[in-house]
Amino acid sequence: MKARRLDEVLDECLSAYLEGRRSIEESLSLYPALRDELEPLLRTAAELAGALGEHSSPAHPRERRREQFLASASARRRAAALTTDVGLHRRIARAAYGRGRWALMGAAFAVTVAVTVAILDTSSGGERPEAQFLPADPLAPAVSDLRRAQERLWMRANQGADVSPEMIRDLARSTSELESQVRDFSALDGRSRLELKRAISDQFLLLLLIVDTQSADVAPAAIQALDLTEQVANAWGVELPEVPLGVTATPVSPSPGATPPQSATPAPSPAVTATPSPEATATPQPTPPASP
Amino acid sequence: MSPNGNAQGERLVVDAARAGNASALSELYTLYFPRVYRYILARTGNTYDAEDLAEEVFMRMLEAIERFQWREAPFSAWLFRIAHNAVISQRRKETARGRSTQLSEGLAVDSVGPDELVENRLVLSDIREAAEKLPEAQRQVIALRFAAGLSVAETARTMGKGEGNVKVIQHKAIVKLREMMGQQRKAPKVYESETA
Repeated sequence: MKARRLDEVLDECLSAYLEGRRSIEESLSLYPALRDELEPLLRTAAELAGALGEHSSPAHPRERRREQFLASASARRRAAALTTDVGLHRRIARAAYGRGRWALMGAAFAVTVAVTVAILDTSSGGERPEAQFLPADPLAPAVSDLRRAQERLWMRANQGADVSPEMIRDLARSTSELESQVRDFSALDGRSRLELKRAISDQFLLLLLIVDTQSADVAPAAIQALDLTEQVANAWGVELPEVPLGVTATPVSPSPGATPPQSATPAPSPAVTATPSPEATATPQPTPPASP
Repeated sequence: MSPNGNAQGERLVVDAARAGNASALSELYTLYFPRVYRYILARTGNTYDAEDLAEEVFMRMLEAIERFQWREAPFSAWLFRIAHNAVISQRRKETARGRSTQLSEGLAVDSVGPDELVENRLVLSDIREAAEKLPEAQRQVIALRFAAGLSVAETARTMGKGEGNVKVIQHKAIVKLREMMGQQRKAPKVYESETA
């Protein structure tokens, strides 16, 4: 009974101290009978609070991290908006040139593309944590050109602006240029291989999106670039992303006559709930990377 | 507004953040990042890990906030559960790599001088050393209450326990820490510079 009472009193005094409502001395004066037991515990608790509660992260990195967080939030919003728009574009695109399969695939991957390219976008001014080409790397200029071409296309597609066939041809030229410089993909170091895999996978998804959402004028150039991308991926032994149906925030279901992709697999969507249960439910899983 | 303060105001902010409002997300970040950071620092003792993991926690929050539901738990409890899981996940990775958590060379503390910095480091190092010997539930209560600044009610929701239970755990943890820290202070410290 007494132990129970001490728990309660300790917490009451502690809460009052932590919230700045009472000093330790004031609390002790309220419970003179418990003073001998209470005082050492409150002093220890105050020491704990002082040691653990006063640290803050360094100001500069904290601000940088905050900006990254807000940039990610913005990218996610854009991705969500794009996903919503894609439904309309998809129908238009399908009606325009009857490529139901591409439309379906492009729509299903819209979020992934958006997030993937947004990562490029947001990290262009900062560091990308993994697999980036060093400036001294002979492939760096070609990779950089390719990424710029991808980003230009992405920026326009994401803003709902028209993409020109010339921009797509520019992307194809950069792809061919890079391919010609990568003589033996398997001989490259792991870091370079990873970056090239990412680049070609991102490009594949981006082109699917363009085929799906842009006007019929660009379809021939986009399909040509898509074929080239697949050829390069094959040459490098890169497995292009499968098409996870149902990955979108607004689920896309195949319309009558549309052929679902053969390799479609269920998407490992971030299965998170607010249910406070250990590990399994409360831990959000990161968005699966778009590229291997 | 604080996690244990204006609940209605927090609800509005969280709901706006769920809808993707940038200002609301920014406000949640401002409000909770220091607390999450301190919680993780108390659990890991490493400022670099604490910064990285706190960032990871907020990225996870961003991915999951749309699915957050008020009926399940208060926002703070939900967020600190993510933080707890991130710490546990990090521990597992470190165990798998065979790396033990080390205190960082210097604790990053704003607005303190070098003397205070050293003193804080020693105090934190003593506390960390002692806390490592506590059962997991006691460690978690100490970190949530004293580092993250959660109330008993929020701590209880985060841990999925009753408030009375949390008070008992808190009491036991403080008693044990007092004993252990008292012993540490009695024992003479041996510094490398003295033995070298």
